[in-house]
Amino acid sequence: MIIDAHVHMGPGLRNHEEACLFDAYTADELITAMDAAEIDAGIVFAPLWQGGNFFDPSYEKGNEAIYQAAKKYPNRILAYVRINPNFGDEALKELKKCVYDYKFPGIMMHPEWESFAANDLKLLGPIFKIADEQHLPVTFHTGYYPTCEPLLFLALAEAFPKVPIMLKHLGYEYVRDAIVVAQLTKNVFLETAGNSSSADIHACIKEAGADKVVYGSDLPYISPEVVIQKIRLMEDFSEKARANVLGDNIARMHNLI
Amino acid sequence: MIIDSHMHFGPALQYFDDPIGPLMRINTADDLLRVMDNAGIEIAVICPPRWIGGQFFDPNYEKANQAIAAACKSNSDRLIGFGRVNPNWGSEAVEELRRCLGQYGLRGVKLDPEWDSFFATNKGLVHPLMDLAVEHKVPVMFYSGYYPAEPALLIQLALAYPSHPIIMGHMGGRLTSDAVIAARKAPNLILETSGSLYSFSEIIKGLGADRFIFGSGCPFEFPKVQLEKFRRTPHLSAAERTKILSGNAAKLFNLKVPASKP
Repeated sequence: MIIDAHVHMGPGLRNHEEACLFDAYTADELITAMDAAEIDAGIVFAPLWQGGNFFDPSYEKGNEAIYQAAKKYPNRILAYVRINPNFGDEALKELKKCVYDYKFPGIMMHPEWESFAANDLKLLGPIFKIADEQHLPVTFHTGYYPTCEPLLFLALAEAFPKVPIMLKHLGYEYVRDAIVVAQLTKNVFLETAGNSSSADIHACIKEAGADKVVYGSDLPYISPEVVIQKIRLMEDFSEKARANVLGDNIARMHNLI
Repeated sequence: MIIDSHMHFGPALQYFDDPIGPLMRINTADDLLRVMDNAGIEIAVICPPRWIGGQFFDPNYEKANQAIAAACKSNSDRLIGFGRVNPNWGSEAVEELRRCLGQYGLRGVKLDPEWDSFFATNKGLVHPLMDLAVEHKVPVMFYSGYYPAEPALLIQLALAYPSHPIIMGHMGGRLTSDAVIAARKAPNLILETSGSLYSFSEIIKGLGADRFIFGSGCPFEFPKVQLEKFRRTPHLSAAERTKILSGNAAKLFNLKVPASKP
């Protein structure tokens, strides 16, 4: 089973069309792309909002599009709600709507783009309380100083030890820091999206363990086949280890297996 | 005569909820003037600090700009106000900037690609704001440093507006070498000195003193420290020091100031 832990979909992509490899505006387009890469399911969330024809700073429209898509393809789409924590009560309201009414099974945040520090527990505490109560994993963009280098996530991971936290992009150039954070905690997972090199992915699986690394692509900015191939080719890891990375870890996180 | 071309002022400072926060309390215009007097700064450019979530809500900087306008109105001989908007807000950002430069009479624009999350290379978002600045003949300052506010991303923008002054706030932060490369490519880029951690006399000699304006980044840096750093920068002539501390900024803001010793 292949589950892609990092998939974007929805109208927000309209404002950065030139960056996309293929269309993923609608659920049907997304499923076509997932089928082509033989992806069984994806963790899907809104792409970063930047100004343009489409206005959605607090991601309400982005979340709505993913809700509709998940309704249409319930077995293929794990909808994660994206919020901007700086919006305070408004963000909590959107979070609660998506979690309690729409039954989204996870949360996504981007400290660099949305401009908050990953160790700002005052801002993130109320969000994580809901994640804790509802058993929702939280996935974060990581890799930029000074908002989201991997070490900043340690405080959150320790304050909420039961909430699975995924660090996207393996912490980019701070990949070694990301490995340390994954080793120090039980609930931090490293996610491979973006331009992670094979060597970086290999190091993470080797050092942090195959049960702490999850495959993600960053579709449609990245070709998922390429990332899947990287992991499949790592034949020094067991079949089971690679299966864990490619989907089983996420499946367990969401009680799918 | 000292002009500090990069200070922050506004209500957001009171709500700053970040350990990397203001180093001194600046709640009122009087607080600001006291800090300036204390450091020997006669005139200061003030712009809104970044907005962080919490009790105070101001994502497109409307409240911040009002505070800047009010402070400048009652201290027009000491303060030069810059308006700040979030370009992602599109037409709302354009409207607010029009208000800043028209109704409020502010004399510059501050944009921050890092905190407000946009790329300076995004023409659709940035050019309408640049066009307003051109129309009102006021300089535009970009925060520079952290991704996505690297100096490299200002080159094409500066080349697209070749006769308009664009200030690189903090001169690239840690990316000083990139700031110099960008400044060589685009002659209308002006470097504001607060970001440099190391001695930069070599850079000033290389690019020419005309390309630099003194700024502190106060209250996230001590103006006195920034002044001391500048004073200790070796190999500069008195004329070069005067240009950077006041002459270049005076030209930029059409100030009539007597030339005096720094």
